[in-house]
Amino acid sequence: MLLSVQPTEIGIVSTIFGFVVPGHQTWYPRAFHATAARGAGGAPGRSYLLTITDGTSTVASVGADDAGTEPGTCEITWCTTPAASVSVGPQGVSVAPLAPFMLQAGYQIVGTIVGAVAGDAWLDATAWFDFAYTTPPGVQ
Amino acid sequence: MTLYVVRPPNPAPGSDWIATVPGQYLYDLRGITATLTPFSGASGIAHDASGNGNDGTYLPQTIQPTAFTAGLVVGDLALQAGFPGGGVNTLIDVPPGVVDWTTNFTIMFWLTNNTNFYGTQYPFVGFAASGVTQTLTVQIDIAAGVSTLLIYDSIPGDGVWTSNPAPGFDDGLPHFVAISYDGSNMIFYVDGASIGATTFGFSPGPDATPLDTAHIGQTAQMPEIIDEYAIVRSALDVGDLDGIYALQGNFALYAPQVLTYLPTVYYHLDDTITAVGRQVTFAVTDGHAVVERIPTGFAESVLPGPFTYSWQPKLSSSTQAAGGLSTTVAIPELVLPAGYTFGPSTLDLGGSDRWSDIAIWWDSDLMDIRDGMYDYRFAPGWKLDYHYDPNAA
Repeated sequence: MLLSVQPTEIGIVSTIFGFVVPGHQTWYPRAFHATAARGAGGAPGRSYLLTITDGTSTVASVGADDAGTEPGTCEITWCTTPAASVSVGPQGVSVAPLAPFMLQAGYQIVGTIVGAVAGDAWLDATAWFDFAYTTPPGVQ
Repeated sequence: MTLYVVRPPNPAPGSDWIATVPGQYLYDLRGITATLTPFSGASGIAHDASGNGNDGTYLPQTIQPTAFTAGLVVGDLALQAGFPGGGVNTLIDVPPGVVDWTTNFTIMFWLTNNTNFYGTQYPFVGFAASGVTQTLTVQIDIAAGVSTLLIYDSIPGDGVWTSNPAPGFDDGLPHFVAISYDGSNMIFYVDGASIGATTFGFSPGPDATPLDTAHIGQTAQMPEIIDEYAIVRSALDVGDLDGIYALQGNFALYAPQVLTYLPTVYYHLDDTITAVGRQVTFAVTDGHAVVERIPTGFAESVLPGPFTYSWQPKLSSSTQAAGGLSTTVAIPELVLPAGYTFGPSTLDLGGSDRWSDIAIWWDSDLMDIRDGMYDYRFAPGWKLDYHYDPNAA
């Protein structure tokens, strides 16, 4: 098993980020960490959702709370720990529980800002996982 | 697997501590404990976020009138220890910038004339920026059975406002006197009632505004008749003063919960005192990017602490007692390779907050053959507290 930390690019739709388990790999996620910029007016309806699909169907969906005054930022971690959130002024930190599991190639992990308003956007997102090759690279 | 309990050195005040997994080791974290002492252990130095230092003194109080927004300068003249002299010329110098005497203040004191004194008393004398020219002056004229309060906006005599007659201050009983000013309206208050109000403005000119050093107390040739004074940096109204008068004495009972500055302590004008702040989080990085950040918490309500934190896989609890907090926070099971870092990452950490008594309990798997030339296990300054190697002879 190999340990990897992999950032992702934030696309044109800045309220969504995504990872895809590449071919010939199996992922054992440890944590997903992301930072959201938060515009004014999103609280209290704003939240953050991590959705795992097999490419077609949703197999898991985990919500995380928003924290902090607006405008501001919020760091969200999905990992194996109870939910909690704290904030100091516009700086929020939130964690949501994520059970340990295994993801095969083709599975997608998508982070979404729910109830987003103008100014909301993901600034960065990082996946931390152990992975194994299901088929040695280069072998058909 | 070899079990270690190690202790990194305490970081400098105002700094979080960070542990880096040393080379050639795989850390299997079992538990971490650390103590956060706000204000470096001093009892209640408020957090000043301005960056200018000179934190004030934090005094939790049981009574908190909403009228007190910030800053009560309190002192006790003549009848208690702590102020020199205690008699004539017993003055407290309020430094420049503590109070804006031209726009927003209340002066109040208790007066007990048990010496049959008749004459003039100056409980407040303010000076202009030159430090020489007297500007705002409060004068009390005590005559048999009647007293008068006067306000001068400069010496001598021009801009005088004279109150209606007040109850006599020659009866040997304690009397409560307050002068409140909001930049335009001035109220005179004695013993539970307003004795007059007026619109009052300072004379223009460099010697009139703003006031600089102010002397509070008893000026020359006066006996000890003023005691228990307080200055509030807001203009209290009659309702506020009714509540204070009803407490009959000790101003410290209603000192604001935010801060109290003693007049002998000089502080910066732009101190930003934050009563609410600090949140501890636990962060793990791969040496470059944050991979996890776990909220841990902080409780301002039980200041001054200390606060003991314990991070352990799967466990979470919190107990709170007066003056401190003990928190156990669940973290994921963390097996970290060399170069990874972990430790608290505190939001709005105070400049004099101090982490101490840090202990890390971990199992190790050697990723490589141990080099006998030097010890890879610990960073400089770390101490081994416990070590168990099942393979040791």
